[in-house]
Amino acid sequence: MTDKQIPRQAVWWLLIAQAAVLIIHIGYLPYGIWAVAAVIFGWRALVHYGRAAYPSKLLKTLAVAGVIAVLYASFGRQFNLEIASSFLIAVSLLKLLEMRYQRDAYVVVLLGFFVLAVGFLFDQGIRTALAGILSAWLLTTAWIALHQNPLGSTVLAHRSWRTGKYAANILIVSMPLMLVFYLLFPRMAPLWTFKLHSGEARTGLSDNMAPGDFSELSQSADVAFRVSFGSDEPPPRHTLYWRALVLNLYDGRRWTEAQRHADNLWVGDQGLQQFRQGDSVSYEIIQEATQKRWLYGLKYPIPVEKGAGLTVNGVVEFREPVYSRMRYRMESYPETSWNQYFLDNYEKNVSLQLPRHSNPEARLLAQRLKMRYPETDKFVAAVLDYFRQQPFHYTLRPPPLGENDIDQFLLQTRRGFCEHYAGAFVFLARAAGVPARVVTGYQGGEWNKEDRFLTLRQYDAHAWAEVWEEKKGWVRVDPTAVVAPERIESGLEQAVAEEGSFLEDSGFSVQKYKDISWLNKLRLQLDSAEYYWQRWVLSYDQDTQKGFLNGILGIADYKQMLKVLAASLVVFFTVATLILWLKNRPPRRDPFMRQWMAFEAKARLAGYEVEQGEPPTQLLQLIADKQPAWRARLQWLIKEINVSLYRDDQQPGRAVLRELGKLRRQLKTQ
Amino acid sequence: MSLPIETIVGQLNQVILGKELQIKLALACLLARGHLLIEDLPGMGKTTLSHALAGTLGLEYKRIQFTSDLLPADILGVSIFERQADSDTGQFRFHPGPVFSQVLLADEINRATPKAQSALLEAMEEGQVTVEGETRPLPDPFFVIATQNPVSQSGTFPLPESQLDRFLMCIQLGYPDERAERELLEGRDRRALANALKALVSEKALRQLQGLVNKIKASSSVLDYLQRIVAYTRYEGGYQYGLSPRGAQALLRAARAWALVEGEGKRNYLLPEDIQAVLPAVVDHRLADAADGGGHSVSQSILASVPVLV
Repeated sequence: MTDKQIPRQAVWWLLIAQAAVLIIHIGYLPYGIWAVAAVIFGWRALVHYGRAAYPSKLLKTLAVAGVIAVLYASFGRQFNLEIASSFLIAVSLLKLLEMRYQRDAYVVVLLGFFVLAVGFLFDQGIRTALAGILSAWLLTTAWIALHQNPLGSTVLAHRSWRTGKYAANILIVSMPLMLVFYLLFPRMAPLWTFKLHSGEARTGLSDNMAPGDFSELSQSADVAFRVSFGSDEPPPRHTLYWRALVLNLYDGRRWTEAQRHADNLWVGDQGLQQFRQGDSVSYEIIQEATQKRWLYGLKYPIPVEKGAGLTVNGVVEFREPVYSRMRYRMESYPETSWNQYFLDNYEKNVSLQLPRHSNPEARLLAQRLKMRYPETDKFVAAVLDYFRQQPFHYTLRPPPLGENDIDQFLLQTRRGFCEHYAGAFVFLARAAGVPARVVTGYQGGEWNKEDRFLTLRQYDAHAWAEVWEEKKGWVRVDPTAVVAPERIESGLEQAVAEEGSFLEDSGFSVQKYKDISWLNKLRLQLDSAEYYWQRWVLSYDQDTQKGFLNGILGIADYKQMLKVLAASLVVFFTVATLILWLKNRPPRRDPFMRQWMAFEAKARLAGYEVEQGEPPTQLLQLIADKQPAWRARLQWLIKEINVSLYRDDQQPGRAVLRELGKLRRQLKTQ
Repeated sequence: MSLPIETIVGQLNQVILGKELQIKLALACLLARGHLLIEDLPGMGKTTLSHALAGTLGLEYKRIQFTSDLLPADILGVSIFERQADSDTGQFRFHPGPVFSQVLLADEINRATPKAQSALLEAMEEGQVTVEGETRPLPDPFFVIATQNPVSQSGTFPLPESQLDRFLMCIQLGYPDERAERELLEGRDRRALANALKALVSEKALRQLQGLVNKIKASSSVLDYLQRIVAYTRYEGGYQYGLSPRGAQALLRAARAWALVEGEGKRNYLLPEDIQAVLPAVVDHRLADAADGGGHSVSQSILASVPVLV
């Protein structure tokens, strides 16, 4: 390849495109890399203006070392996808510094496309997709600009927009091809699944619970999952307890899940049969990646999908951690009495377990209440009454608790978030000999009326309790609902409105400005767009594709699918060629020209040929010379054609056409 | 109205033997108010043609022999101090140069230096001459016939493209055919014959003829053809540069005059044949590839490549 210069206006496109690609990685890219990027963009711009030189070899080596140092400082010694991708981005940025000739620019553009594709490993939401389209457009524009005349830098700056338009046209034209590939290209399950995120960066429900966890989680407005009930209205809000996991082991501070042997864990088919009692609610959930195995469901869910199962605790687990966004269907039977059978000895022991010698005051309180109200339901009501009557306060800023935290909470501070109430309640129940456990998940959600789906965000995370009643089985008890009914009825924002602590740590968030109606409307619409994107675009996986192709196109196997794919490509390129041909074909000829062309062709066959540039009458003259019998007719034709075409400036009349036709038929092919 | 074109052409044919096409082109060029460049070897009848043309049309005629030491003043004229008789006083009087005539024969124009050439070419373009701060109009009609030897001959200053552009047509006379040559050898001295020609048209009639050129109608079909030719020279023909808009106008003007000459006043519209007839004379010297002498192929390839009807 020759060392061709980069056209000057292309440099801007290259820089802008590279910056746009970075934006896709905004979610995890460390600050250090942004600083590196700023320096490099600035430097390259200075080089562009002739104010700085390209870096020397030594400097370049130092820069690579510096980038590695920055990455080490940001990530430490771990290795995961984020650090790999950050390194890729860093070196592709460094490439800008030695982008001197056209071939360097090619490398930059191709790297840009690669980095763009890597971005979709992290996030495939609609915003990322839009940013991806924008970047692809900019990269294509830069690519085209690379081939433009290097002279027109500032004088012809307006031409840059034409380049952009050209690139946009290319992308738009290739859309059908993209759709065909989207629909038809075989979707294989990934060859390997890997953990994308290092963990702590991601907020979400954890598999254990300690005081303070939930109030921290409630600072995040990230989406946890979305639910649609088909065309149905959702069940009333106060029943929307989305179960994720059951925590039944208590170590004095932290609630965790007791491990059960797999044989006793899953509810078998027989159990599921008994389960189906009364009305059912069916719904579809699109769940964000959690890196955990649990799925969400209302009391009590049966997964419709394969690979997920119901445990004896009434929660659903998937066969593997949910590493990427997942869509599944659930069925719930709120009326079922099935759960009453599930208290085996093991479960009973676990559900009464408490660490020794802790929280003496709370134990005393529980025993006193139990003495007075020996029946379980009465006892539960009495405990709830206690929460109601004492000055308990629902707050996102609970004071820190020391040893014997439950004593301290119940008798002194009396300020807490849901996990405090749920934990304290289960402690009291167990201390009174009533089997009880903590359930965590989400409660409520925001109903999008227009597009009919429910969004649950991290701040909807909730913890409540379940107690075992002899006749009824496991019964849900939510002490938070007693202390702060508005949390259950209208959500966290209302519940802490007075305190003003809703999302106070999360900086700017549109969630905070629900009062501004247009902003809220916009937010809801963006939310809907995201939902539909997930539901209709991202969830098109292997199974959906199979169903779609089978149902609509009648394609059964991969062989057929590839055939259809190949056929679509052929059709696409044929249509494209046809359109190009139609656009560039010569204009439709008028009747005289058609007649004349036919005559000319026939005359050629008959051996009368004139050169291309000869005037039309030359051919007639030639024939007249060879066929004296026709001379008069031909002379008349010559005169008529010349007079109408060149004097009167109009098409020769019918008589001329007729005469031409007659002559044509009389010409004898040799 | 019967036009004297046939008689003019007839009389010229008697002087210049066997060169009817060139005679008609020269006449068309004059009727189109354009200047004519005749490029050929010495002794081919260039001067005789211009003599005969001027004589037949009854125009005043002057001739300059261009040489390498010719100065602009030799062409344009000069002011000379004249003493009044019997007195010590006097004044400058302008002595007009040969340029102040209706037909100017600039013989061997490429023998002169560019300085002298440009003095003439300015007069051709402007129709007036500025000498010593005073602008003097040239007579009307003002018609320059320049002759030049092929550039390859020694001692020539080739005219640059911009100056070649000022000539509406550039024609070559070429050797006469055998029959004409024999007649030439047998007959009288042609130069003397040319000098003895009598004028066939008045100046007024000539102006009228020139006016008729503009009345020749160009239909859209013919203009389409002309534009195809122009586009071909610009984008397809592979020439260094194509016909300029002035070149395109010149082609149309020349074709109109040709239609008048060829149709002898009976046809008042343009045919593609008219354009084809004048194309070599108008286009060849304007396109770069033709300037290297002997380049006839330019118009030939245009004619062969551009279809008349599409």
